[in-house]
Amino acid sequence: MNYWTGIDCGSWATKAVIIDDDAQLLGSAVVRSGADLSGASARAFASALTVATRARSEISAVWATGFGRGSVGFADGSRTELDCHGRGAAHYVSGALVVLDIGGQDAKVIRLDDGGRRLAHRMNRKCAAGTGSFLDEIALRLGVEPQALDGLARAATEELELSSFCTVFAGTELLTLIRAGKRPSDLASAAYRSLINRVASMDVFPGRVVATGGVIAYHPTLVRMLSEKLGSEIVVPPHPQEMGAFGAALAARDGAAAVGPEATHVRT
Amino acid sequence: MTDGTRVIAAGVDAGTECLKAVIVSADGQVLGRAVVASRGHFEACAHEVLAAALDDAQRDAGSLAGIGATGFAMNCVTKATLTSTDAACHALGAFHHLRHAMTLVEIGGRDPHVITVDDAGRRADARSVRKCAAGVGSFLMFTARHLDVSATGLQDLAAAGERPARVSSYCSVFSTTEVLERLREGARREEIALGAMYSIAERIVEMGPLDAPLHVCGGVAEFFPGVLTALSTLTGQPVRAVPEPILTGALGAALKVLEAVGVAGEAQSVEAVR
Amino acid sequence: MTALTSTAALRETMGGHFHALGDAAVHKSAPIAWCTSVGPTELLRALGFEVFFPENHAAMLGAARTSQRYMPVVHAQGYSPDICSYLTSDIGAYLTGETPLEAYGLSGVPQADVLVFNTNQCRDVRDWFEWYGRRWNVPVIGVRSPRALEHVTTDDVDGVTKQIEGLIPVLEAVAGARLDHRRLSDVVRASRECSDLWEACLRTAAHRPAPLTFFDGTVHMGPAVVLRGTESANAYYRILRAELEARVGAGTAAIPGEAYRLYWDGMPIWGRLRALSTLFEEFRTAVAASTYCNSWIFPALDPAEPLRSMARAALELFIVRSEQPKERYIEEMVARYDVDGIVFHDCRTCPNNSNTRYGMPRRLADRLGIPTLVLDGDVNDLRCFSDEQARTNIEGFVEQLADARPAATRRVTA
Repeated sequence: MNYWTGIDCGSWATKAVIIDDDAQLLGSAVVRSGADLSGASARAFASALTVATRARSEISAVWATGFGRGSVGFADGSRTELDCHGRGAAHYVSGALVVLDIGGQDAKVIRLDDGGRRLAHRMNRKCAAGTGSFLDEIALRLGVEPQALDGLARAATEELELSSFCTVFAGTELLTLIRAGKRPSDLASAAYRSLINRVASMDVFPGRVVATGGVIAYHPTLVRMLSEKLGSEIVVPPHPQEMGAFGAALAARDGAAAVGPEATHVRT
Repeated sequence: MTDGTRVIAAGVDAGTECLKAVIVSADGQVLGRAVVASRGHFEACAHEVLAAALDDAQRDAGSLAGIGATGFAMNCVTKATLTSTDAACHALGAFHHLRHAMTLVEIGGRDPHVITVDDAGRRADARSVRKCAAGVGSFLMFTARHLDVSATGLQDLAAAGERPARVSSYCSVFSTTEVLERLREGARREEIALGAMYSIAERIVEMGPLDAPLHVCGGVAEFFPGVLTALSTLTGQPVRAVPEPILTGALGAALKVLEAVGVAGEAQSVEAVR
Repeated sequence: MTALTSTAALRETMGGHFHALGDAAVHKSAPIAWCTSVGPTELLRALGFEVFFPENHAAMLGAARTSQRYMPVVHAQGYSPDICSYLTSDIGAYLTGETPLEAYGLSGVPQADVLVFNTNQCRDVRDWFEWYGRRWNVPVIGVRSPRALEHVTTDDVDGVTKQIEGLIPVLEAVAGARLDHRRLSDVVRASRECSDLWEACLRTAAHRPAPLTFFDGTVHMGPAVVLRGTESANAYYRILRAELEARVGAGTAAIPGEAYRLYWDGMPIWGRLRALSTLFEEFRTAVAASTYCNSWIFPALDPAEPLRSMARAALELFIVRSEQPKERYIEEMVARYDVDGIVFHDCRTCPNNSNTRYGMPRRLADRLGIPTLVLDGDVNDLRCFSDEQARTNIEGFVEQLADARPAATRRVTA
């Protein structure tokens, strides 16, 4: 049996996973990316190895993805997060599908054909970041941990609107609602709706949608609201936050040809 | 007219990042001050900051001639006897210290303002930043989080930076991404911290002509003097902070109360000199 | 990137243009007209003007990235950051008292005796020229063009021809000379030859591997923009064409190991030209053709009918057309240059040169069966461009092309 590692070095968190030839997830880890992306990658890798009870020498190849994919000095290859989220989602869900990844700093829509091949992708427009950092800021405003937003939103009774397209101005709108004495649960729900509206306007979502990313992992109520908004079933695969890293590990296993200069790093 | 020498007044500046309160005497001396973070409901924060300032002044609420409120959530200061705009209060508060006409740049958590203050301490004109460049104070706080330092630690980092790293996007959200790009490219944290401060100074320069003398107030001036240095470099003229810059708005609001009850702190003391 | 040896001749040709302008400005040896890039240049040359092109100047500011310092100066004057960043860069440089033309011995941009616009591309060119007109108290005249044309009708051509004719008395007064129609005809003939030579150069990229890319084109199109109608432009393009044809003959690639070919629609991102060029090269991708470089091809120019053919040439351009003819045009280019995909640049401050905002990228992807990519950016304002987002977008797009290709091969062999 061979073992493969994928590392998703994101803007906010770095994720590492270890899989075997059958794509069984043996171990994973999530650490803060912070200011030292290469150090974060090494820490995440070490933690994932510990969880998987594998030694570094047992890993056949490490592939990197995400914002900091070029900073993972020990990687044997890399693919963009567009590829890895698509690859990971296609592993769990067959047939044509749309993958929606909501990360810390951006959101992506990836369309796959029935063979799991990428047809198109879209990223949020530069001025309309509908992303996880928005929810972090909202939580800060409400004086709660980001994970607590879900519990709040579930108890919402009043439908409030945040109409601004811009994260900064949606934040100001939220403050206006706080000033007007609105309930925290309704505000949390409004923040979810704001993010959902931005994401929903990135593309059309016919058929099956697979949602990945840290926001999906921590905010199940947002997923339910998103499903209602899109009018389609949303599949949340196992370990959505580690899906990019998982896709990178699959790429390592399958020896996907890297694009560009990374190709020279690939072991044969 | 009441007995001017005993009158005290409170001012509360309920901003998006912090609420500030001061207690002033009739002659405009600041007797007590307090700052609390804006979290959760503003009413509770306003209550808290006012109580803290009174405590600092060792006075009780009953001795107040009035409470002036300004800032984003001024209407949440439920005990306020008077409200006034940010620009008017900042102009008055800055003039109280400096006693001359000036261009006053108020940089807080959200959108910065450039206020032209006349030689009587009145707001003669005010301009705000364009929509897409808002969120400056909160941008610095985000940057600090990415650099793993406290908000005030960002200033210490910037002070040790020699060349600012390029952070040019006018969108706060994307500036944060740029911070990460610079980190990945190997820029030093000090250079990035300094770059973040230059980025804010650039937003100010874009707002229009900044006639001398140029003064800055607001929370950013209090915690991030590097922004003033950057602004001075970019405009080629001296840039000075108003004393206790985070309290300028609250001070102005308190002075408005004195004016309203006919004590008018400064004016009265000037007359006393005559 | 395999460097073109013609670049030395290009520098000399462009240098000649700027030196001539410098002489005219200092010695008053010729009147100076400022002109929009698409004309009506030929008329100005026939009247003996030295012609200065502010768009070319603004592109130089963008490429040097000094525009980042200049734009805020103009924003502070009440010009919005949402309008043309060429305008704000150029006026900002003027107010700052700086110009890259200092390298050619000019102390500043050559002051205009008259400014002549054509609004066939946008209204901003007129606003831009009027700023200088007020500053120098000189006439600002031009053609107010119809836009978004499905077909270029006789009426459209008549109207613009009349407007060009209407410019003549003002220009004659400024130049202190009468228009010599034989000379105009000669200028239009030379201009047409320039257009044909430039088109021949660009067409060499239809070969695999492409001997030049869009990024080369944005530099080498200089003479077609600023010296159209002169022999020096034509002399230069004969040199360039010879080199490109030699490359085709020898199989020399602009991008060694060319694996993918793309079409670029929209403005260049001047401040990131080198970075993007390097990025595509890393991915062995040749951006073989572009709407932008093609915009200085004017097949309508006809020395037998100078003014009318100038009007037609200005109206037939891509940017003056509605969505349908634009789509047909891109479809033709996709076939001619045999590209694997299309990159659309959504240029934040240049809506008229951004073909992304009314659904075209998706319509074309569906109809042509090739992927399209939209890059958010700007011609000169780098604050509207994210290096990170662009890199992931482009790298992901090339991954997609790479993944599609073996799949296609499988289908064929199955």
